[in-house]
Amino acid sequence: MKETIKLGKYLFIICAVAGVTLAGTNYFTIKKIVSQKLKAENAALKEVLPVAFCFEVKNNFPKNGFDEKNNIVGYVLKVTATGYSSQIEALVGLDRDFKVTGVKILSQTETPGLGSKISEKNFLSQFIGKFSEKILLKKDAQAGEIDGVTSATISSRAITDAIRKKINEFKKTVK
Amino acid sequence: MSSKKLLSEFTKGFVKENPVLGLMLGLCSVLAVSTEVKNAIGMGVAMTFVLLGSNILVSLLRKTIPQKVRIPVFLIVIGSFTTIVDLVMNAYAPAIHKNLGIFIPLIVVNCIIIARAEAFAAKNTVLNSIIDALGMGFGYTLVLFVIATIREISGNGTFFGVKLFTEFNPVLVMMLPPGAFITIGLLMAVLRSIKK
Repeated sequence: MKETIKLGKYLFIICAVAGVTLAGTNYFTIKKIVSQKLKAENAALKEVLPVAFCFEVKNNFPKNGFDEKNNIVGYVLKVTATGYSSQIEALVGLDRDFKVTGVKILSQTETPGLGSKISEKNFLSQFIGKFSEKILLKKDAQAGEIDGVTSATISSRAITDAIRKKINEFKKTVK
Repeated sequence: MSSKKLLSEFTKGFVKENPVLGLMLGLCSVLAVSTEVKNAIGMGVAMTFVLLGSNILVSLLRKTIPQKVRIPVFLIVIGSFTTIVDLVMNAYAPAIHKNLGIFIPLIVVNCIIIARAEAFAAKNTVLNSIIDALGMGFGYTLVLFVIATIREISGNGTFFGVKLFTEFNPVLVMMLPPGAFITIGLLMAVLRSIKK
């Protein structure tokens, strides 16, 4: 019994010290982490809709992008797709005619070196300047103008189809 | 403690007792992050830091830690250091943090660290434990670097993200988990034949 209490006391002290240390670290880094996250988010919005000067401040999507005079110049949508091995999250920028201005992959854990290439510029830049009717894989449809990533058809198709559907859905809500 | 002994404590982690190729520890993280040299180095540095912190602390506490609860104590120490690294990296190196993803928190269960705490730091002085941690961490990083170099060049045709060839057909399997197993196996064979 005596020993149990002794061991318990020791563990308690160790845990208390660890807890205080971690709380301290958290206290000193949390501000920086939050501001980094905000900065990254804003940069991502700007990347997919470069013409916008600022963006609607709210927590959910779609977000409107404004120019200096507060006119709506475009929209940013969030797209989620089920890829080969993960949920793919992406931002899509649209101008007022619903033409794509940019696509950015926010998160994915597709196969490294294969499916993960969907987040590279070579693949994503194909979407820029296209209307939703053309956003299909070439190998899937005549009208399609998107080249899939070699040997990562599932990932490419997932994100391409998800983007097209999301734009079509969004069009209906705006019109 | 002679300086020669210290040097051998440091260098034993490179080849003789290399944590990955010699002791076969921590393979999980090696397989996962060795697709790119950049990630490999980030992981190596993070892991070395945690190893250093836990070795120092375990060595300092070695006379007071009751034998019966030593493993929980090691785990708390390692967990705390890992969380600190996770938070600090998230704040100051968000790009690398994002690439390494889940593997930073998983340093907690990296058996190299608990193995060094149990087998070395709990029985040796602080100075020796520091040397041991640096040597082992360097050995781990070195192996990661070599594997990642081989895999990134053969599987993607790049080194540090820089394209090396104009006409190159990458060996895709090298980017996938089998590529890591093959590379580790070959390196192990080379190392064993050198040791003999």
